[in-house]
Amino acid sequence: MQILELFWLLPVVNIIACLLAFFFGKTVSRGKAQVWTLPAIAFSWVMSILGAVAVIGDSHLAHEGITKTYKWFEFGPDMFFQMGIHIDGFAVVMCLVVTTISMMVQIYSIGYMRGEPRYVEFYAVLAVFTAGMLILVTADNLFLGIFGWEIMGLTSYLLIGHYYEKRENSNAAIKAFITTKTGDVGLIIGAVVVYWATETFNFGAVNAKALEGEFHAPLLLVACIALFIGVIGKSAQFPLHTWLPDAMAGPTPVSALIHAATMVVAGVYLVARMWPTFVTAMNVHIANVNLIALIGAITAIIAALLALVQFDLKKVLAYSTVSQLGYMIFALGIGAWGAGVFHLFTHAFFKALLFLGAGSVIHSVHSNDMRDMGGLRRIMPRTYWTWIVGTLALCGVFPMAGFFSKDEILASAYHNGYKWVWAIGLAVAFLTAFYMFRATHLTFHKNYRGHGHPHESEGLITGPLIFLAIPSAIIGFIGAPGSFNLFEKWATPAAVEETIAKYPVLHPHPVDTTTFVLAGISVALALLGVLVATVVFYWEKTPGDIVERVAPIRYLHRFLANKYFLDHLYGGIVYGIRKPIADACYWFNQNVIDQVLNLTAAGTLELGKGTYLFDQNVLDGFYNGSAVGTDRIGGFFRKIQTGNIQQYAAVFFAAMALLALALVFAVR
Amino acid sequence: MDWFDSWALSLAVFIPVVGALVILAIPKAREYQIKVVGLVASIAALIVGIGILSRWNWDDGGYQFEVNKGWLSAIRSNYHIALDGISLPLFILTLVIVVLCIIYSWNHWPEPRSPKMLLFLILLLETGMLGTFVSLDLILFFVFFEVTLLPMYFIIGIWGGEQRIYASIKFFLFTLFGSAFMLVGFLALFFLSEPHTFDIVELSANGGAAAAVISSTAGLWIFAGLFLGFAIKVPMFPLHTWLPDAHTQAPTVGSVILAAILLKLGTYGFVRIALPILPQAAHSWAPWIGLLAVIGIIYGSLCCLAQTDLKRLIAFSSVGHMGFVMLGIATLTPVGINAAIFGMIAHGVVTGMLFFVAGSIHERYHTRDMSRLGGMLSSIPRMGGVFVLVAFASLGLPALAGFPGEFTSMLASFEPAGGLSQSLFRGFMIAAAVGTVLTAGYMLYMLQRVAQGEVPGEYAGHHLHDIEAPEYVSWTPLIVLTVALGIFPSLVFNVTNSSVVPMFEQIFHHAIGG
Repeated sequence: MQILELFWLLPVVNIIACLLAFFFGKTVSRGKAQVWTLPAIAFSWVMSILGAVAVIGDSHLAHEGITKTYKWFEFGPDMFFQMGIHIDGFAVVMCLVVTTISMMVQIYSIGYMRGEPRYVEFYAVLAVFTAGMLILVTADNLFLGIFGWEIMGLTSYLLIGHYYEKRENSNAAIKAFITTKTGDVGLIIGAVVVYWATETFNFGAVNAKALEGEFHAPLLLVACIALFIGVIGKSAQFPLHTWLPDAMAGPTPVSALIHAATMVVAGVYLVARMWPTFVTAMNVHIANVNLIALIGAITAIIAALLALVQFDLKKVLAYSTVSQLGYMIFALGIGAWGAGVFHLFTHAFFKALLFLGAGSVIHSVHSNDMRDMGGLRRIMPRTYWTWIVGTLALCGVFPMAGFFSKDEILASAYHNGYKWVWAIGLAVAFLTAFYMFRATHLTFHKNYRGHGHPHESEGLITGPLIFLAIPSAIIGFIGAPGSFNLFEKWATPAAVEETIAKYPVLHPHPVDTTTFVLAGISVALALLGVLVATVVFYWEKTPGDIVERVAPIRYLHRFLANKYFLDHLYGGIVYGIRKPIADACYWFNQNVIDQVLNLTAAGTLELGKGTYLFDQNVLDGFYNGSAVGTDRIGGFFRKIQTGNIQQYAAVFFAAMALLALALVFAVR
Repeated sequence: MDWFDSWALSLAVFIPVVGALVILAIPKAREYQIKVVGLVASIAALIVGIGILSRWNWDDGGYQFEVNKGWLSAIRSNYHIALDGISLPLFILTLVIVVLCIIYSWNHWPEPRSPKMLLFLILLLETGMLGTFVSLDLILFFVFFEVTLLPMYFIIGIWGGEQRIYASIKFFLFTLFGSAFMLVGFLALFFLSEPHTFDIVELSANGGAAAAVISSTAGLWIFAGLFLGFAIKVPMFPLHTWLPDAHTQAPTVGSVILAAILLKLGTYGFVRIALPILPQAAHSWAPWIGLLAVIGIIYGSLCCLAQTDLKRLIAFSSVGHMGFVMLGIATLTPVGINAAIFGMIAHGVVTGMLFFVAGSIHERYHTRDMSRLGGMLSSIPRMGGVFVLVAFASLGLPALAGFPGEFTSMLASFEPAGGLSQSLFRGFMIAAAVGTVLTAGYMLYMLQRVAQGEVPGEYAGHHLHDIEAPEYVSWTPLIVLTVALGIFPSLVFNVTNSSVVPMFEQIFHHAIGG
């Protein structure tokens, strides 16, 4: 029995854990919901480790993977939907990331969420979130992947709105769900097009057809653009990135797990999983500009700029996440599959570390605002040193994990002919170092500016920080360039290798002097960023009011502080128009459509009244020779008011019978 | 068990009306006996339904439990009843929903309190609905279809809200208006077919094809008549305006039955009668039906966004959801029809459940005004949780019941039947996909106003009851179905597909030539 064949258990045990926590969390476990969910995630983590051992020992298995499917539902023999898993090295890597971060976050939350409202529900939703992400990364087809994708959307909504008593939090939850759902229009349309063009949802089969040119070219492009719109929504790419900073309204462990390490990389994962299809559709191997690279690069730079002006510690990290997601996306867009996925892998560890570290700080000082912090280095040493590891990793300083992945992306951009992307990437590297050290100085150095007496967090909180600091520091070496690159050896699926082999531009670049020069440039720029941040925020060598005094900087600052006015744009246009249009529709419904029908009804009513009056007054009067008293007319109107239906029915059916006869004779 | 095969359907259809007559005989004061008789009658019908399921041949796509006896020989109308994979899910859903409604009512009688009258009407209604789904004779179908009308009219008119009279008359007149045109269509079918017959099987292109002699012009007109009858019931834009009033005013069980079953009589009519008998006319009308369907999706969702009344919002959401069902039908493909039937079942379960919860909310808060509600997740967390789950099912979240129908409906409209404009239907698909965002928008808006937020000051001191025993019993099956249908769509698709595929192979391949 191959261990990988049991990977369907991973989502299943987490779903079961969710149900147990939900139904027995308050009673059997007296509120300690983690006793249900932690064993499940620990089991999944051990399975992932065993899976990693299996694929490391067998490179054929790592590339080809195993597939297990069962027929889900069908519309005839040649149109069926399958539920199945496909586990290769890439899937194992993703499972490892998801289960490691989930487990750390669940341990961390025991301390962080203690005494918070809805603790049990929090754990239940965390467990089902993990299940959703595991469904996506183990799924062998797009249709099942959509299930995981959307389950994550639901849990993200629920967790962002965890403190739903405040209207702004539920607004943030709605914004996150609706923005990603807007992207999902593309995802759904893309899935439909993929199905009809290839008659399957299976990732492997779709990739194979795209590579062999059996995927009708115009449909292929439409499908990929549509799917990429889904990616833009889920992975918070420009211009749908605005939901992610707002999503920080959720508890900090949620930000670490969902909005940094896992769910937001679902879009990156999808592009990576369907990379042969995207490469073929977007001509990544020929062009030196394409939609994926463009959107990724724009996102990387604009988010990095926004991170410069934030005072909310979590928002700095949120924009940093958006920026790094842009990095991963453009890495895939310039043809650097291995580098992009490796960055996803390393980023998950150090960004989760940074978020959890920020949570530790926020837990201690009871504020998100960096202006209320400062001097925490001495008070919270464990949080501080792990934060420094995470920061250096994010800045890409040798030998931290981020150095290897980021440098590999930039080098690939340079070699694959995307020099403009390389330039933007360098600028982002500089900005990243700048805003991260700005945040570090404001939070940890100088003197404490806040209130109360902060203290180091308990072991349940610092433990996960220390655990995550280890991979953040050293795991980069498994992705060292050239023949040392074990990560690509284990994680690259066969279809991706075929794609690379097919297009010479995508071949791995040699490790030579250029490699070291490029690495030197990016590290130098990062260090420059550190230096500038230190000059401005630690030594405070610049005049403090430079922003106010110099007009261009003032305007730039305002532009950034207002997030390029995108939220105003969306708020003003999208949300602003919703109300008038919805109201107009409803007005139209009530006053036009309904009135037309009401008037018709009223007309019929009048006709009926006339007929009846004729009947009662003329005919009946003629027969009886008696005048009609006003009381009888009054009685008639009362009957109308209370609905004397039989008359209409009778008149109506008589008319209809005539019509039927007319129709029959007319067309005979 | 031969006697069961020939008697099962008649038993299931007429047990409720027998129960209704027994109830009439019991004095009004003996309320408990009345309730027991009502419950027993509906459960007895359900047991027959389970018996039918247990003897169902899952591989056979044809009619099962068929009975064809002479009835009104003067007009050649027969007592012809049967079930196939298309009607079976709706038939079972009806049996289940009525039982759940009676259980739900156990301690929740709307004012003016009269379990006797309400149960009598509900059981009468059940016979009408079940009869409609089993009828294979146009006159029989029409009779049952009309039998549903009066009980619902009285349910709204007697136990409704402040504007119950207006709402009930509107409901009655709209439906009657449609029925009249439908009857015209039925009569025309009879007179123009060769040989003259009301038998749906004989008229269908895949059965006797007695309607094949009807000229295409006449077919177009007859289809238009049937369309009016069915589309009002669905309801399709712009014939939907009776629905919000009827739903808003109806008592809870009325809303549930209306949403869960009665609306499906319209869509079922399209699938059972209009399409198989007049495939060519259906083909000509399909683009227009598709257009009205997607207008309904977008328009219904937009109207939802403007609502302040909880029940009215849910009512308008039906316009949108039934739009997906009609879009599936308009594609004239097996996938589309499967999607439509799935959509009917899912909408029945999910929207029925939404109305149940809305009714319970109204009972506790004494208002449906969303600006006065709030904090349900804090004050009555279980009901709040159920409400969130069902709202997400309604907005089409995968793994819950709403998604498979919507997705397959969009899947079908990418490749409509041969001869229909592909680009037009692909445009419909995109519009429908945009509609899902609007749906998410109003559902989350509703949750924000009702489930999230602080408990409003006026209810802060009150103790509100969370879910009570009758609610648990009546909701659990629907919640289980909501999840089960989402995870295992084959529960419905396997049944429907076995009948839809043969129907299509014959109708559309023969009548239109692919």
